[in-house]
Amino acid sequence: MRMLSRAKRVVGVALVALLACLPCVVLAQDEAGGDAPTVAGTATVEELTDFRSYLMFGFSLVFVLIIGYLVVSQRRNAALAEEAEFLKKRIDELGK
Amino acid sequence: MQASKPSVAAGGGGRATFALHAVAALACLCALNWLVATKVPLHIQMLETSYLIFFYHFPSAILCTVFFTINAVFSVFYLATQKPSYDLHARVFAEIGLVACCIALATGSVWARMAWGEWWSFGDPRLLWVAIMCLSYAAYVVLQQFMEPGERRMRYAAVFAVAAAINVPLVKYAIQFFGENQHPMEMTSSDSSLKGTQWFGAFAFLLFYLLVYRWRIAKEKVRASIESSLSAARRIEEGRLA
Repeated sequence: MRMLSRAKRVVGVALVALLACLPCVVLAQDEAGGDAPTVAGTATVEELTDFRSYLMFGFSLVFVLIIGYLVVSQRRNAALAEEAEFLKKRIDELGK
Repeated sequence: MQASKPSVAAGGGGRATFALHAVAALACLCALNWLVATKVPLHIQMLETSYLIFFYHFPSAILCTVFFTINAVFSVFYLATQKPSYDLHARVFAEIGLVACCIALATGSVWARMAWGEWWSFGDPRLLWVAIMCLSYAAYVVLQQFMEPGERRMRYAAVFAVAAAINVPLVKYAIQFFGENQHPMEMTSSDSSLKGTQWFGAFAFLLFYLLVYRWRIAKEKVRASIESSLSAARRIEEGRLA
């Protein structure tokens, strides 16, 4: 079960990393000459600036998701720490 | 006798500073995105817009070597003192260093595809050493995760970490030692916004990785606390049965 849980975590991290790389891949496709604007092609500066705005939005969204998860998880950690502290005290009292 | 209820304040201060830390990291990362989207030049030298990924590649690349160095320092401390807390810090720094290294490799690979026309260059000494370093620390994390917990695991891991740290100066000086192939020594531009954004990015990512570090440490401490409660309960149970 622990192995499975770890595997799930690894898959989760890999998905987040893929999500984080997605804008870069899109950018790379643009550079390769896709339909989206390219510097070498016919793109105007305005189009490129728009594209960079999408990139900024994408990355910011990824960071919000990751940091949001960390904050929620940390709250859970704190609640668990309190429970563990309480449990330890009870066990110590029972052991006396 | 009724056990006292756990204090709500327990960890309260830590929670507040963690939240502040998270807000600061998020604000800096979003500011970095804004700088990349609006302030830096669209293209420099021969590089086109694909160079923008540099602002995400550089911080992770530089910080992974910093974290691996800290991991080695904590490992040496552990070998000198045998304190388990040093092992915990070494382990967590290796984990976040490995994440940073993977991000550096992934973003570098995308960039290489655009700049050099290939995802990976086996002839480039820096790329090769970074890959070796990444695999070394992946092995370290696997060793830490899958060996039986205890003093033996900590000692083996500490020795392994000290040996793996040899990769760090090799990565740093790979170009000086083995010559520049494709990976440049550094990016140069007359635009001052480039250097500023580059180092601001390093700071923003440092805040982010330190947040992950605090989260991992808290998680490990909770686990240790639960395990200690369980072992105390088992001892009582065994005492009763005896």
